[in-house]
Amino acid sequence: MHHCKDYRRIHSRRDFLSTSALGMGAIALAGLLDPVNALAATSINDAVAVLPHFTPRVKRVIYLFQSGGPSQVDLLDYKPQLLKYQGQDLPPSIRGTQRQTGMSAGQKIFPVVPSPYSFKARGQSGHMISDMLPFTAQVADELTIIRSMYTEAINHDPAATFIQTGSQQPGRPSIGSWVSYGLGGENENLPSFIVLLSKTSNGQPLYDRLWGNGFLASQHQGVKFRSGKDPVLYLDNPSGMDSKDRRRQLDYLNELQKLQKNEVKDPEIDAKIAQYEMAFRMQTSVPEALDVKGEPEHIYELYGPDSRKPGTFAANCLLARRLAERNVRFIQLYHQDWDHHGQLPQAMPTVCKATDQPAAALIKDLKQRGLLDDTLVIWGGEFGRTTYSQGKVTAESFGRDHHPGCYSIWMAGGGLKKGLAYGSTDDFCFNVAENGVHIHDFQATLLHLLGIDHERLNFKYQGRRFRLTDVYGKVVHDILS
Amino acid sequence: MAEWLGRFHPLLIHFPIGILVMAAAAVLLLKGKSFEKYRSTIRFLYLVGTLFVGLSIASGLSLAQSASYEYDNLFWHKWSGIGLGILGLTLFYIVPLQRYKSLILILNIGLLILLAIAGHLGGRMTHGPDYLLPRTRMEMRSVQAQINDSSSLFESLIFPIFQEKCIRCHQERTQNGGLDMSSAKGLLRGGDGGEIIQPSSAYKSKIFKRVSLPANHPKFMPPNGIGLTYDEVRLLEWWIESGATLDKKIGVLERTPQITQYLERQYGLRSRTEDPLSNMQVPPVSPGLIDSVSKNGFNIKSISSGKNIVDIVPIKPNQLFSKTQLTSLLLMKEQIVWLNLAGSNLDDESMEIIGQLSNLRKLNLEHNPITDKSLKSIEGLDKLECLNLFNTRVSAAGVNNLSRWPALTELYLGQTMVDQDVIKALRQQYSQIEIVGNAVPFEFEK
Repeated sequence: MHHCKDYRRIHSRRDFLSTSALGMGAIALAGLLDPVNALAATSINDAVAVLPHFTPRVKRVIYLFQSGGPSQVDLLDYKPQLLKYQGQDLPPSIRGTQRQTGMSAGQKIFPVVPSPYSFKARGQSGHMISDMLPFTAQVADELTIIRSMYTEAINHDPAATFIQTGSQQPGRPSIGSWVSYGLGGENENLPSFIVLLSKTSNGQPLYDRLWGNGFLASQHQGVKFRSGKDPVLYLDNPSGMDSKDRRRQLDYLNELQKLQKNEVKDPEIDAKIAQYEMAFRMQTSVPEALDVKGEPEHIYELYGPDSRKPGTFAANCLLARRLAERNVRFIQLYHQDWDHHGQLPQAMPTVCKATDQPAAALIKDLKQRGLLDDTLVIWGGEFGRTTYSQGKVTAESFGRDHHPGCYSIWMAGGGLKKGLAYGSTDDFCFNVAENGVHIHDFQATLLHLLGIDHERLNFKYQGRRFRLTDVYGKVVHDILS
Repeated sequence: MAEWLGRFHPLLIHFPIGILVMAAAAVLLLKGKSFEKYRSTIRFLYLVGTLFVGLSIASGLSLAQSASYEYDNLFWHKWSGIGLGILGLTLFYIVPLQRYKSLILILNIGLLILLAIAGHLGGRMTHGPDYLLPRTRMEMRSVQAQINDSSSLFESLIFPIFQEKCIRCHQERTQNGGLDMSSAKGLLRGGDGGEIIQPSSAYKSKIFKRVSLPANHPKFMPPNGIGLTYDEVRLLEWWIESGATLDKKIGVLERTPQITQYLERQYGLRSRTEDPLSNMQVPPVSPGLIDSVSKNGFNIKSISSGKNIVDIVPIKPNQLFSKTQLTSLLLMKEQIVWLNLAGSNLDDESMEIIGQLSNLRKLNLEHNPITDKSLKSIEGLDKLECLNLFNTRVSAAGVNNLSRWPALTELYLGQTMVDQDVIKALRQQYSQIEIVGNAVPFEFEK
């Protein structure tokens, strides 16, 4: 049992000296400059004592994660030149040395497939958006489209882990956890990082670690709401017990926890206490926040017929708006089913129908409520899809393989240049042609919009200070207004 | 002829350096008998050394006539050389004399020092000031870091190029081609061939033509040394194209993408708009005060580190506030810049309190039963930029005069008694304000 007592060394002599000499001084100084933050920093974790680092442009994020890798060729990156090369082998000069998956690397020919869908210039901005996204097209002028995203990972799990945590290997905190750690919540009755999953039978699996807290304290992990009728289970007290009893029960439990804390000094015990308390408050806050019965008819119409069915992307978008209204810091939705290796023309309409209208409705709804001004909405996946077909192209069908070399995402909300299309790909939609935005650049920009300097938000763990963007990342100032 | 002989200066100077150092070393190292043994040889060395010093001086003077060197360096180089000659000659005369032993020693040390000075200054002129002790990276960085948006383009980016690459030959003392680039007056006057700068048209300006010629062209400037770099040529072009003014600041001039990229890469200057709250200066509040405000149900967050401005939202959303609770906000009257009171059941009376928060930039009042009367109470908020009235009871009469809020850029009027036609008319009248109505047609229940 001796090793348990190692926790006692959590405040070593060296730590005490360095934090009391520098740390206390810094806090005293911060207190003179900024009494609010100095007080807010209850623990001496200097990295978050001065947040936000500068005036934030948005206060919360709604991240509509499109898992599986939506095809940029068919949705957001218009390439009329591809028609010329229809069915021809992708020139080796274009293919270059880009990674290919084992699923298509062995193909004798990489037949170029232009998008079967037509594109039109939309709104004042003239964003070229596919007919597959008619509702998104309606809000084109609110969107900032990045056409030059690129990643390093080529398979779903590492790629999703990379964009969510800044590392392809699991174990680091998710973006939402970093934001929760850095900025905390604005609503003490709801978690600051909430995750909503679409209920689908298709698609790549999503592991809970994608919204995990990694080495950060566990109250920062994403709280997943169930995609069913009851998003959070066991909110009601058992019969015969009222909330006063519950409170007393928790108080006694807390006393026990504190005894244990004094014994082993494990900071996770604090996290546990915080979570018990949050669960207690959620007993009343969650039913109120997620009760969509009061939403008027025209709102359901806006989000589409699916919005009445719990667990759909549409219903989750509506919930996301309600959570945003309640100042939840980071709301992440996941929709699977974008992994179209084959039968793309058959699969695309379904997934577009499920996601297009709700995503656009969310923008419109946030906009009319004034919430889009201080919310950042992100739509995008973990990588793109190849311009060539995986397998044979037939009259009816084709497929596209994973493509990390370039893909498109859109963002909307405060602090962005609305209607801007940033970056471009080559005529084959295979390589970034200009202004490439790496995953770490995207993450740095996201944090920047929240008022966080991505190089200063860090956490010391196992002797090293970790960041969301590792040692990389540049804020894409060109897309900021 | 004399000019051509001047070019032998770099060759000739090495003889006296070698010979005089040898003589000095002999004087300093040899003692007693061995010194006596070589006394005449040492004397001979002084003679030959001094002779070559004389030749070096002669060739050096002629070289100084033909080429332009930095005046300060040249002055001391010349006189240390001449001093060296005098010392050498003196030593030649006194070395045979027995009684000046200590004087010989002192003069020899002086000779070595003068030799070092003359040699160092000569090296500085031919190899550049950074040759012996290159400036470290850190120093260079700190020099660059001083440039920001409010630096003068000419003073901080253009003139340093002239100083480095042009002024050696084009200055007040040595006006090659009759051109003095060391002063604004001289630059504007131009040289013997007339004006060198045509404001706003770089390609017609002589100065730009001459530095952007191919390097082997006979008219390429500068004729010796390293020409302007690509970035420097682009900077010069930018300066001339934007009027060749002496006082314009970098931040106000229009930039080409190349210049934008250069400024960002080299100086970290970004072309983004500034933080609108960057110059807000308000006094700090005591922690006790913060406590007494937050006790009333308000979540107080700092907006930006190092500033005292705050953002306030209710701790519980849709929380109802009494007048006393709202009055506590006045304790932080100056500090509150953003305020969110959505769904707090505010009435027109409580809005009178909000009207006193004179530093408000963002005010969220959605889902409150407030009417036009409330708008009257907040009409003094002249810094208000964003006003959210979604789902309130305000009407067209309340919003017909938006110039009450001169800084306003965003106004939300969805689900109010203001109908679409009025919103359309307002949009036309106030084009600088983004006025947002309903996302879908909505019938207000009156």
